Amino acid sequence: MIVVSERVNTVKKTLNLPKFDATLNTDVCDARNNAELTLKLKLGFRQINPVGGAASGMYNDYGSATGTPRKIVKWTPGEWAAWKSNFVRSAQAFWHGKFWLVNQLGYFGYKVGAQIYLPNIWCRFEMVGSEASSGVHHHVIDVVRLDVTENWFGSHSTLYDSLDTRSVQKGTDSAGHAIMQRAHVHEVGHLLGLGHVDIGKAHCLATTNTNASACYGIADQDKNSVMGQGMQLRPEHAEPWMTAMREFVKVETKSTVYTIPPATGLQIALRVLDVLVPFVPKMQRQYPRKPAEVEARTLITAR
Amino acid sequence: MKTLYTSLVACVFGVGALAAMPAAADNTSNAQKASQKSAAKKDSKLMSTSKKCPPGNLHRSRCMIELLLEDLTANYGGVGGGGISSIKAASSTSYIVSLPQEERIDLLTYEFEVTADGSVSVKSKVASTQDVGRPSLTDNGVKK
Repeated sequence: MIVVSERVNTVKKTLNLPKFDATLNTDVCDARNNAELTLKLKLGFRQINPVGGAASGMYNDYGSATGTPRKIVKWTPGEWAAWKSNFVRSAQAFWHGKFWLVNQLGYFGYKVGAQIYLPNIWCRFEMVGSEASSGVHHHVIDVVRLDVTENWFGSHSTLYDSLDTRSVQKGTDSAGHAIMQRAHVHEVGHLLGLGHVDIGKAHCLATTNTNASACYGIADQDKNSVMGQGMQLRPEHAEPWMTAMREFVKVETKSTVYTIPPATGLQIALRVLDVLVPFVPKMQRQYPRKPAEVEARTLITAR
Repeated sequence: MKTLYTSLVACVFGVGALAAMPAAADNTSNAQKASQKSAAKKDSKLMSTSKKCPPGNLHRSRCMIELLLEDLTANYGGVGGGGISSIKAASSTSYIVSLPQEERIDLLTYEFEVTADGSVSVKSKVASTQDVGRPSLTDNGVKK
């Protein structure tokens, strides 16, 4: 269920979507600044400690009874706080502010003086990490602290280890260069709803096991994607923000200052595409546009 | 059949990293097996390397495992994972190697050809993936 809450005297709305909360803020719009869409992911972290209060013990890969046991040690308050802080800070920095959604249909128009502007959407990301025992979370993440003798643990999107924020080699490109990745930013991609880079291709059909190694990329470019084996972001990784905007236009699209005119001639086919994809992701800053610029499909990257 | 299957579990090497974990594969659910099968694909590189082995099942299985380790060293592209977690006999002429990675376990099934004169060669290699269950989530993302 989607809950809409509106703050009095502001134009800021929050949708509580299944995977994250989304807040659209049009208060900040002016001739140079777009609307801001912030996805908030609330994670509850939970320590996995050796049983019986022991200083050290064993824990199996993936938390599975059949996984390989690895040596773990008890979390200390200082290590736990530092790990959580590093996780949240680095994951947020990775996903925050990297995308702009171009507003193809002229939603959310406003006036600056006599001039009408149509904002694009700047994609922000906020991660809130707290103890799993308190509050409401989108996901609960269990975390083991590996002993210094261990250098690897079998993690998945809701079970991490203390080394998962480090950069490690996940693959090799065709030239023999190492492809490095920090596992937690990949996993946060999953938590936002993104799948592996090659899903949908012949070697990784969506109907098969999409965790198969081929789904992490075959071509160098795909291997280097953050949803492959690397750290590179691509426009399609804005899909969680596009998903949120699809929900926002259902509840908040009307503008008293501007409605895009009906398409004519050759523009009709393009308008059909715009209706299907009303917000197009870009990885370069886009400035708010005037009506004529929207209608001419002109991108404004400097003003 | 089950007894035969179990009795063929791989021998345990002296090297710790190669410790066989028969329980892991024995406990694989039917759903997981189906998932593995759906993800399976033939590896394009078929090897012609063979070994002449002394008589006896111990030597024959040692030769098969040596051949698959040589192939793994030369051809397995996965880096950064947890190494080999098990080498398990799936039949008297095939072994399944498990290589844990983040979010998944890569499985390589080697089928061998054994001739009357005792030579062993790799007949085929099939790669598949075992999903390591992500927990089910409720609508608001809390664990069920």
